[in-house]
Amino acid sequence: MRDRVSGLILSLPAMVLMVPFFIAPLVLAVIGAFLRFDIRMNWSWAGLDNFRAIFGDVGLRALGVTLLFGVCNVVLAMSTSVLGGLAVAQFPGRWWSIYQVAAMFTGLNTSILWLWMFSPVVAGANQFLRFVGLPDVMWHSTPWAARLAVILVIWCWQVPSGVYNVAVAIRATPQELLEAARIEGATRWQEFRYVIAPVVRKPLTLIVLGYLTALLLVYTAPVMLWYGGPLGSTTTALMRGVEWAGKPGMYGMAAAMSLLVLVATTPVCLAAWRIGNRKA
Amino acid sequence: MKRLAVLFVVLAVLSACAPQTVEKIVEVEVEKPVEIIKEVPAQVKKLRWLSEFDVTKTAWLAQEYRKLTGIDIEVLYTQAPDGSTAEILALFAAGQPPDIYSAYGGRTSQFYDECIPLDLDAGDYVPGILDVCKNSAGEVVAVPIFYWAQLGGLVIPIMDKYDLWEYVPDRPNWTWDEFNALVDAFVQVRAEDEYVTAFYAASGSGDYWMQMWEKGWGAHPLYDNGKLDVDTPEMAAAWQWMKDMIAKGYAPAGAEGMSDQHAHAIRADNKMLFFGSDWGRANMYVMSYPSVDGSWVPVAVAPTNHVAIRGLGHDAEARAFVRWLAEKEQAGILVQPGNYAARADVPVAMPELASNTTDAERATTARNWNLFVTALHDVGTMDIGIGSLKYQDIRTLRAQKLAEMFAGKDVRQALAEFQAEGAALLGQ
Repeated sequence: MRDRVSGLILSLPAMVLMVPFFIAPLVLAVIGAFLRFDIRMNWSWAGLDNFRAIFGDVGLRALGVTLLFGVCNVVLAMSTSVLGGLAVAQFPGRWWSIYQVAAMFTGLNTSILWLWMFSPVVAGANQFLRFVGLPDVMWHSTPWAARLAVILVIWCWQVPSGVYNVAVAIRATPQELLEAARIEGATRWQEFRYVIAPVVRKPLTLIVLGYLTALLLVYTAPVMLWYGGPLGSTTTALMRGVEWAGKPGMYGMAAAMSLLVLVATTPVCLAAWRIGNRKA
Repeated sequence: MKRLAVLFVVLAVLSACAPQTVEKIVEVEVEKPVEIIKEVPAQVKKLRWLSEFDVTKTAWLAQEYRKLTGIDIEVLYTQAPDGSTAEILALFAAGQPPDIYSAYGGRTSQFYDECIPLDLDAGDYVPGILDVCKNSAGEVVAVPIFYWAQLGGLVIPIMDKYDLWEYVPDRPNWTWDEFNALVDAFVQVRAEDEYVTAFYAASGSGDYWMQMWEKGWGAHPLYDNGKLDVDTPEMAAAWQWMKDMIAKGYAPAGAEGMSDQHAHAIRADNKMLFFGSDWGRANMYVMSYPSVDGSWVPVAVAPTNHVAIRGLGHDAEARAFVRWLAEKEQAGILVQPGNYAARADVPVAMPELASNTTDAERATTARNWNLFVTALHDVGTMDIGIGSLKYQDIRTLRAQKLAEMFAGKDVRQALAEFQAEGAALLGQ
């Protein structure tokens, strides 16, 4: 009981910040999703009108694009992080710093490179394709190519930190357990499955949660590359929500969109926590 | 001693946090007496003014107005990169909109129906400019101060590279024949990745650039006597011409996915002959375009203006202040160099650009390629702005229909949809 009280007291500062910056906006978004606002934020009951507008319009497409980017992002980044982490863990720790630096150097720092890579006239990616004998791709105006470019960029931004975190987690595996497994004749796969995986499960869960947060925030890459184009094919739910929130009288739509994103991602986050807390 | 040091630091921090008054920013003496606005009641002591205008000039005007009327003007400057949209929306949401809002017309126009009608004398302004300052009831609610024109030009390095200057007429108002002669000469010698120009419909100002070409085809890009009128033979010809330019390989394919920055990158690589658009000559200097032979296109965009928000308890005072800002002296102060003044009697802020074109040259035929400016203040022949209310929505719709057209949709179908959806948006 005493521990609980002291824990509560220690977490109070964080709770104080949680209320205005997380809980209050969440409550406002939930309420606002069912209201109609005029330019002066006078409201009236809208029922499900905002949701109907989203599902009957470009909003549904934006949700689909968000889901596509999110799923591809999590699968790609997770698998490559694990493989990369397993490989990198074999090297001395000082070599890992390259992944630390890469993780710090991603994001907008590399935007110029990516813009050049998929630029309409001098696309670096097309120069590579020509080199290997493949035809040019109209990255900027072909919907699937534009989406693929976004997925590639997000993946490259996320994977260095993933590799680093997994490598650190693998290194934390008790050596005596690994030695015992080897003495018992375990294969490399069995070593990973029954010794390393249980150890890295929680760090991996955190990485998944990080990627899911990125799913919610898929914004920078499609804006940087294509402004959500061509013809809205890379416009995500967050982009649409931000656009609506910035228009007079459309706050209700923005709130409804944010609520939908929250509803879609909460079960995934809960599942990730559940897996992470499962006993080995 | 230690306590004294701590006290000193605390005092320094507190003093740094103290609100800075307008008076501290600028201290400029009144140069000449200005007639006092007598219609302002004495009991109102403070108005709030959200302004995108130059900080020093805004502060000076606020100071002058207080001297004249005793009314304090609290100036809310905006530093946001996207202008003041987020701030004004936040202020509205908080129930504290400013009494006066001064910004680019594309932003203020979203609030025209929330503004106080003004009785401005149309004779004081360049022809037609008040038409884009009206609310949905047709009342003038905004005081236009200045407007931009879009910039188009020849990219000098590529002209030099192929020695094409002999094809450039030594005057404004080229004809299509002259334009085609230059294009023909260029495409004979160009490299595979060099283009006549680029069209870009994905974002930003590409629609202005294309609007200029539409005018070259004799189209009035959006409005005819205040009504959306885009589904015309001239517009169809212009859109088809742009599509054909891409089909011939004279412009990069995929214009539907091309954005401003893509086009800028192509220009920066000196891989196109004509480049545009931009926000006028001032920007050309600021953004350092040494390779562009700057020229003006007669497509003005929504004028930067002042509006007074209604319903805040002192409409009369806010209106009086905006009326004062509309006067020649105050309006002249706020016109930014490199732009066009909205008042006909305010001196041009860029006299070096004064056109020497003759009336005969100005009377161009519809097929004349109207790239170069005809004359300053020749706004009557232009489509100033592209509307007022729902300005940005119409721009977005226009960009979308252009993108769909570039992506393969039939030109007439795209224009018909633009007409129908745009009219519905405007309630016409």
